[in-house]
Amino acid sequence: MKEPELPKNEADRLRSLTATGLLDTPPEERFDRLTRIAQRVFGVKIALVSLVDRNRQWFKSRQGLTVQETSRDVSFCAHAILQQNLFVVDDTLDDDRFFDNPLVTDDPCIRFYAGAPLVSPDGFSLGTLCIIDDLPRTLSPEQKMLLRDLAECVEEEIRHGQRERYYRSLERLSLLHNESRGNPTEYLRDGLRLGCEYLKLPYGIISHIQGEDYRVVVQVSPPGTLEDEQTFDLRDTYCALTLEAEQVLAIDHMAESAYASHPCYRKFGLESYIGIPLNVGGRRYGTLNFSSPDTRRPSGFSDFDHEFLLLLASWVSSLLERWEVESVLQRYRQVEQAVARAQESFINRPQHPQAFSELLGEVLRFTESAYGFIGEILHDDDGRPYMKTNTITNIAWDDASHQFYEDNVSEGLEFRNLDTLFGAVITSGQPVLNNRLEGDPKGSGVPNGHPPIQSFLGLPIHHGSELVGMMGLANRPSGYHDTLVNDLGPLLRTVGQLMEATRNQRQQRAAEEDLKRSEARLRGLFELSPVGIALNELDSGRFLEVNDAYLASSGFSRDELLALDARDVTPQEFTAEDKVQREILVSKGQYGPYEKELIRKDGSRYSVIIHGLLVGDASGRRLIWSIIEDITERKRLALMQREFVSTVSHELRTPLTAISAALIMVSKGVTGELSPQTDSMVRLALRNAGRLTELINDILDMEKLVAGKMTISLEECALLPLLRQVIEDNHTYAERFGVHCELDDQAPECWVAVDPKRLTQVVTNLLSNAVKFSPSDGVVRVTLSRDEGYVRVSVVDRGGGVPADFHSRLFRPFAQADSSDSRRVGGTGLGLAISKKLMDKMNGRIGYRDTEGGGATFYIDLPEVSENRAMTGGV
Amino acid sequence: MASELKRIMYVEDEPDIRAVAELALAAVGGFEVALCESGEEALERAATFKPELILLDVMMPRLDGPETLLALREQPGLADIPVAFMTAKVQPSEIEAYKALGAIEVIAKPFDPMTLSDQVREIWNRSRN
Repeated sequence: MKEPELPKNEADRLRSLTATGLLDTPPEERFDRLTRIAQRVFGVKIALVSLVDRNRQWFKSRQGLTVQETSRDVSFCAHAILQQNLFVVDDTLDDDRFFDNPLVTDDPCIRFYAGAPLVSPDGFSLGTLCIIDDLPRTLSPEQKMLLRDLAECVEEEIRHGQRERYYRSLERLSLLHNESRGNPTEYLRDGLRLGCEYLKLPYGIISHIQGEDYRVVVQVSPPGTLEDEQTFDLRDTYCALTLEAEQVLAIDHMAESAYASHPCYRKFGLESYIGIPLNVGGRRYGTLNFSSPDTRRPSGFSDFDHEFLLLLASWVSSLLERWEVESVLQRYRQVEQAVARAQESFINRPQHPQAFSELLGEVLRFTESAYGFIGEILHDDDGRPYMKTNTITNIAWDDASHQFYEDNVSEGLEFRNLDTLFGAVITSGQPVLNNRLEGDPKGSGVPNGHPPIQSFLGLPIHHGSELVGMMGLANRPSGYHDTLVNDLGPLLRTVGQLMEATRNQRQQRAAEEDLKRSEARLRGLFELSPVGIALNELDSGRFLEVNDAYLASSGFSRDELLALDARDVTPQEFTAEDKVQREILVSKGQYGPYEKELIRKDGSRYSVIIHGLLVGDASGRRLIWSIIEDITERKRLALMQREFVSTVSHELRTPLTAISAALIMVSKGVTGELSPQTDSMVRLALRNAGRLTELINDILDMEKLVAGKMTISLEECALLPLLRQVIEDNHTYAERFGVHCELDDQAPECWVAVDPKRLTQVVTNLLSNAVKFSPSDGVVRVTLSRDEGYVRVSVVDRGGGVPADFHSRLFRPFAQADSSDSRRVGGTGLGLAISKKLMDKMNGRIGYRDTEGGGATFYIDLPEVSENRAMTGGV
Repeated sequence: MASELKRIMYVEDEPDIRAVAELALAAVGGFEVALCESGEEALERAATFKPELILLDVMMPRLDGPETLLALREQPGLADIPVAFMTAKVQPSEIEAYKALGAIEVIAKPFDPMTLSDQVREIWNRSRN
């Protein structure tokens, strides 16, 4: 006996056989009908549908035979499946392969065998439709064709069984499809359940894959194994392979596959797997996959399985796509609403921390984040960026952190460490997304007790091209997706605008604060100033503001004064001067200082020095700020001082009169002859008494001039004779210094209107100065010239001149260039000051210039009167 | 009346001024001088001393110069004696005022003791013309 060989493709053949699902199933009429026909048509004892299994042949349908199966090694059919054509043995006893076969030698005593191979849709010979008789027979060609036809009928029935299961599943799938509305999770689960049933696999998963993150969207699994939303590392799943393959990936027996070393197998021990990539909206979404801890040997995955998976995948995709479109729309609506609410909140309540925290609340809600913050990006003094929160979720986990939050949240928390997830956003200006933070070095920087951060999305906030802030979101249960970055785009732009507005507002507030502070300082100055200050309207003169000092001087209450205008407190005789000053104010923006009188509440008057400036207010009104110094007291003191000086001087004069008179008489020998020594001492005393007299006279002159008590009576007189007289009078004095005074002989005759006595005083003063400062044997020249209606009298010496830095003080009281000079040359220091005042009184001028070639030239200018007028006489 | 000034009454509250004036008028000028330290004393002694000129200081306690002048004018026999004031206040308006009171002249203080006698004599001579 020859045992049948194994076909070359035995493993695949067996899988194909198993996939039919016929083995060990009860008899079916559809097959029995065909075997009965065969038995009768061919008139044979036995007709069978035999399936050649691994070690046996099993009869799906049998006629004329009671046994259900026989061993494969005695099987005729195992021979028949090795070839494609009809396998016919006319007489077993004539055949070396079968003559000693127990089925030949023993019951059922086979003498004739004809088997037509049954080929599966995927091309494997699964077994045969065979007829058997206990007599040798020969089949005619027609009979052979008949048997072949019948075999094809059997093949058709085998296929039909598989197809029917497939179609039933598709039918159920189409029912699911038609019913799906709204959240598709449960429909998807139904689909998975159907898949599990059809494929006979316990695990079914729809996954969403982002980067290395594998998330279970929906699953069907034995209780206590998988859950929705569970996440895995993609590398730990077979789906990595599926995505790589970009088509259906089916693995019957992982242990014997090329993937035996895959981490998924090592981790989960799944032996069989079938999966397909899912695309949603044209983008890779994840996978649809089914698996089992059992191998799928021997049936493996059939064409129908592949076909089914493709159809199920497209159903899942369309469902997900619809869902995604809906949820994107919904997210957009939520973002839109959040933006609108944020803007509204910000506009209605510029208390923006509130606006920011409301906004954050919205974002947390629709991103399903547990924690979050919105922060501004600022720069420290070194230009290093840092983040300061506008608002942050309270994630206090103990008393200390709670206290810290309470103390600092309103001011904003500052984050300066850039080596963090925040820092990555701040330094790069790009979004940072991480869903696997446990174990990330940047996520592990949280303090002890801080709730663990699993997922984080950091979003930069730009205003224009400038990075102004960032938003951080954390612990979304399902992790963060790239799409969220786009979805939040409009919101981030709004936040950027709000931040910029906040910043502007803050700067404006700071500027206002500064202004207020400086206003308060000025207000303090205004209130406390010992000098009166008033603000008047230019046009009406109305008082708008006055300080206490002004009120104190005027005797008015504030309310009384604010009902008045500047003219009400000005005596009549000052209105002309006020008018002049007002014109100056309008043209130059400032007026004064000038002296005037103001009227008190009781009608009395007081003197003030007043000056001020023109300002405008916000409404364009022209206002005057005036500084009004009450000089009543100053005047009183000055008067007292002058009176004191005057009294003292007068009192000094009486004893001086006695001293001088006594000394003169003694020195003249009225009391008798003096010894030379006594004479010299008496003269010394006399000289000093003279100096004292001179000083007192000057002081009294000065006092009279200042007090306006000096009477000047101008009369027209010829100048030359007067000058000659003065030179003559000072002749003796000049001789004492060895100095010669001379009048310019070219000097023209002129007439001037002067007080001759006072002019004499002035010229004498100039002359005596010139003599004192001239070198011995020097000459002092007096010249006369005319200049534009004035006559100039110059007194020119060749002395040391006046230092340039002293020119400006020359005509001030008690000014002497070198204070040691007064000792050497005498003089009171009042002479030039008195001369200046006298010249003013006589409508003249006095001045100084250096003499060419060295020395001093003092000059006086007097208005010349015409000779005609002088002739008619009288002023 | 004498054709030459001889007897002068000098009224001055300051004793030192009185002393130098006495020296200037008596020793330098050779006049017969009666010194009075107040206006009252002058009124009392004028009748007996019969001065030909009275020199009156302006500023004096109680009766000052002008008051003394007015009082003299009211006494018969003294009313015609020429009076000159001696004062530091020699503003033109002040001089006018003194002259209006009846003074023949105002002599400025401080005076030059060496020329005072000549000045007084000249004033007196002028008043007689």
